[in-house]
Amino acid sequence: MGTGNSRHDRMNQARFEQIVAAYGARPAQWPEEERDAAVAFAETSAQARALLAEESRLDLMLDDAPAIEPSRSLRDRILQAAPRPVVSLAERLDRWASGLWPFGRSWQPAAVLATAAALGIAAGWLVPSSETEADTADVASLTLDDIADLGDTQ
Amino acid sequence: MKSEAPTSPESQQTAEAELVQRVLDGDAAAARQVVGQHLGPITGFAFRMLGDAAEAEDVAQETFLRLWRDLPRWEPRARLSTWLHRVAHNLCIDRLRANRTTPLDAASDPVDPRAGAPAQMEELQRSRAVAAALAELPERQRAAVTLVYHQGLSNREAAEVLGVDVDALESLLARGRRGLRKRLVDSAQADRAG
Repeated sequence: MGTGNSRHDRMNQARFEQIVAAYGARPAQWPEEERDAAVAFAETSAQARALLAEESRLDLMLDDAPAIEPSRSLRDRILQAAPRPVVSLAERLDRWASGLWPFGRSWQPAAVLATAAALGIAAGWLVPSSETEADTADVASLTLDDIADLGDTQ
Repeated sequence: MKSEAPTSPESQQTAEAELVQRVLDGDAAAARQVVGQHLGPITGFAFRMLGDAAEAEDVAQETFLRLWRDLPRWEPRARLSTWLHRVAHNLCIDRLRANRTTPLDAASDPVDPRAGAPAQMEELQRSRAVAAALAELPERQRAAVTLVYHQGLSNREAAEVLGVDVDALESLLARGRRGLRKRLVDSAQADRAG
């Protein structure tokens, strides 16, 4: 046994009786820090062994206490209330996009749209304009003159 | 050098803290694990305290709902089992004091009496006798005996659940066992003698 003599010496009949009166005759239920000493004491004391035999009758009776199993519905109710995963902003956006594009992964049409938009912007910047502001004004004035001429001819 | 056993209190505490964190993160498997480990014992404890299966399930449900609610403030030093038993114990005491009921029907048909086998009938009678004897104990003694004997809590854990020191727990246990012995062992001897 792993206990030192000092611990065993501290166990005496009075303390052994207290332990058994409170925890019963099964060493597994005795206080962990006194268990080894109490077991060793019982091995050397006929009085202690008689006490254990007496107390074990009550232990056996307590084994017959009624028990129940929790129902499946109780288990399900508890699990339904368990914490839910924390959804990140990216995941929420992805779910929202999935609602708009229910035919597959929503990043695919989003990527096509983004690419098209990027190409459009790039074209706007890179392709040189064929008109100046003056040209535009001329065109505008010509158009107005033409409209006036048309009115005169009618 | 001897390596630390995986079942040491420290490693158990670490594993439990990780499990709690997984539940907090919304891991359904972790929640199932917690419920699988603790729902049976907590329901059984409430049943032995209250003697009514439906009330015991109500207490167990409320206990777990409070666990889910309070997990963000969880202290890793606390053990789940102790915390759950403390909450369930308080809920049971509240119900007992509100209803002034005694769990005299605790042995409600764990065995089908229609089976008729003498061994089963004898088992049913023994079960009813223990339930009645437990029901007659003062609620603190009943809780102490049930926590240590049926729930398998250590003396420190049971004392923590009841909010007392270990000496006071031992006093409750000794008085509880004396009462049970008088009702069960002594009465059985008297029956045989008669």
